[in-house]
Amino acid sequence: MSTGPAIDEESRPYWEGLREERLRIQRCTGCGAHRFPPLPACPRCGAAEREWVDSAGRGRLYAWIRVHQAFAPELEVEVPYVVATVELEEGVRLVARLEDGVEPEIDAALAVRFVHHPDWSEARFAAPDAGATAIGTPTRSGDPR
Amino acid sequence: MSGEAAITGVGYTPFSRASGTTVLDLAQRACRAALDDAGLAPSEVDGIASFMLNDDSVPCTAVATTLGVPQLRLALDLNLGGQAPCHLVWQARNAIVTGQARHVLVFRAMNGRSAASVGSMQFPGPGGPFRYPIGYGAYMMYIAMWARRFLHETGQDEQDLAAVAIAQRRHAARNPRAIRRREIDLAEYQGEPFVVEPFRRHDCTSEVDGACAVLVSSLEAARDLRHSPAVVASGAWRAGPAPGLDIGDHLAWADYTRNYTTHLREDLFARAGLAPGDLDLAEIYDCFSSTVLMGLEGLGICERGGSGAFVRSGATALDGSLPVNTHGGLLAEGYLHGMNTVAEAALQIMGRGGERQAPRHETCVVTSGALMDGSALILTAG
Repeated sequence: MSTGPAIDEESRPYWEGLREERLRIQRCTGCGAHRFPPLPACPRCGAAEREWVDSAGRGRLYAWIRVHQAFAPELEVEVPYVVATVELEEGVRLVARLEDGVEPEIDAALAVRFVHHPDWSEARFAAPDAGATAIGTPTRSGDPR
Repeated sequence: MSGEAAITGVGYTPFSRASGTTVLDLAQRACRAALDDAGLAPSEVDGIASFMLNDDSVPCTAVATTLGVPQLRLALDLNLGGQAPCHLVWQARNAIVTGQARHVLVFRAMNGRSAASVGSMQFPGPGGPFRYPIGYGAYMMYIAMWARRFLHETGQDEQDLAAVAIAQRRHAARNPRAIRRREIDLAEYQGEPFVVEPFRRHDCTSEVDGACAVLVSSLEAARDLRHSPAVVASGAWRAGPAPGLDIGDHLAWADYTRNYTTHLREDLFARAGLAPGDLDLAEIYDCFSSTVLMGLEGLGICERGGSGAFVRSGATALDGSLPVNTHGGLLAEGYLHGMNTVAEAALQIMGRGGERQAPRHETCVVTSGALMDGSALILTAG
């Protein structure tokens, strides 16, 4: 997999959560609205106060693509792969890879899986009954935070 | 009529895979060509407007310096992509009608094939880290993601995408500037492998090196110039709710089946005092085939779900009820980020479309952009 994400103060809890196999999203402590990607203020009520909460990790497939052409050299061994827009039960959307072999279907139920790369961890999605434990090779090079 | 503005000249460099020259040279050549086309000296120019992504072009002042413009009263450099051309022409028009400038060049120049490819560019901004590490990093992928949902919700399919590509090639066959001029049929379309499903090769624009410019002038001044002007009757730019953290971020956009065209159409047509049924032709931004369908529906030209059937019916052909993308679109003419889409609209209104001239050409809608934000113009024969 390619190089890891550029992490900033706003997004750090998300990436640290994935390392611990938690899918975390921001929640406004003013009005309770969930939001993703993370933002420094709530677009609904304007409150700056926010917390990070664990998503249930369940959602449905809103849209998908299958990438056949590698747009970067490191992706040549990965094509074809499916990228899905996933609408979580909490009402926010993520974009994530589907696990290899999962056939995309619009509105299908999905559940999160965690894949650990040497320097970062990734949320992927598969059918909810495809096994509850995390899959992916344990390729951690250091302590996940 | 005074107090209005019009496109009075258009200019192009050749479109190629490798220009062999600098972006500044491309820019100044296209701008000079637009001035020559109008019959105006560079010394008369007092405004320049352009756009670039990730510094892939040159600032307006560089072009003013090269052209020898004595007094620049307006310079607009936008950090935008294909959303910009109609927006800049509309801003040029607004500057002219409020007396801030008389002649404004609007250009896009890029070595988009041999140097900085927008198609594989990573955009700075806080949304990127959620896309790039997972291999969701090319603009084509974002358009494809929207296309998937759009086709699903509107009950259309890949044959509707194919109809756009096939129809536009018929126009390109009559356009000597187009880089893809050979006609294709459904079998050839389907014979190409997927690039990013649902897109095959012919759903995608082809990146080029080149430049394109239009000259916007006061209508009063236009009367002294060479061509019958294309009046800028209306314009609008719009971003709907949650337009994103960077140019590629669309995660918080609620509805991937409706783009900016849905949001701006009411203002656009109201300003011109026209309705979609009054249009003679349409030049719809098409970095990828799906955006033509979404634009036709978003502008209210077609009912929801009816755009593919509209194209397949032949309605968008030169002899149809509403010729669309008469130059072959960005799909076939080449990816000048929609600046060439505006230039084609002006040529058609002026009646200078040559072999691809639409028979009726009093009113034309043009759009710029594909997803959350974008702009549009209505040009009229005045």
